[in-house]
Amino acid sequence: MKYLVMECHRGYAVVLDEEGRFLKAANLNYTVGQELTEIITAPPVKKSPR
Amino acid sequence: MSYEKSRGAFLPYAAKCIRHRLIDYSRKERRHTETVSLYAPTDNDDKNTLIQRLDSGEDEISRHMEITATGEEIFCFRRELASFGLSLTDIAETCPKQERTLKACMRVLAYAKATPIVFEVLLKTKKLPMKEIAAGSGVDRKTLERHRKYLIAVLLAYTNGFEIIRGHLKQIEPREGGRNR
Repeated sequence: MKYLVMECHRGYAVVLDEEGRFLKAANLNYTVGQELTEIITAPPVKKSPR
Repeated sequence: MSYEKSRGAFLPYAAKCIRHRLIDYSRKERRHTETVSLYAPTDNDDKNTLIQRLDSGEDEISRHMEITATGEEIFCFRRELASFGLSLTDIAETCPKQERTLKACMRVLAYAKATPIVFEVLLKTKKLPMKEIAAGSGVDRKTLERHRKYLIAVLLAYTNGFEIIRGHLKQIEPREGGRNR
């Protein structure tokens, strides 16, 4: 699976996989437009009940 | 090798053994005299090694240009998304997690591809024509509402001007045909 880096933040990057999913992944010093073959997906953040 | 006291003094014997060992080693190593290490420094510059001078087989310039062009297209895509009040982080958070939901979204995309007016309405009004899409694709309206942001992003990628992103999404093919009218 190939991933396209769409957006880079300090803690994470948003990547687009070939099946059309937008995923949050750990940003290992990526550049927007870079193509990756492996990513470390960020676990979903659970919202705490108020 | 064994030393026998009856055959003479030890020191001359040891010297001879050492000498023969050194000759053997030098003969053994002679076959490598023509071989040069890739990590050896080059003649002109001690800091550079031979491996750094070898062609890696990759065209770094065209690769850099490709990344730059993709980056520019993504920048335009993000700007277009911002005109809908959306960011890529929002979309990543509302992206379908289940395979079944992703398939449903792909059915919407297939319907939109077959019905270009959906793209026109989306770009003109900045809103998804939910009623029409639900009727045309056969996807439940609730699913559409829940993944509205994601659907806008995917449909936007299939409008004009995002060829590189579309090329990356070559795997997207609707597995089940949409219920077109």
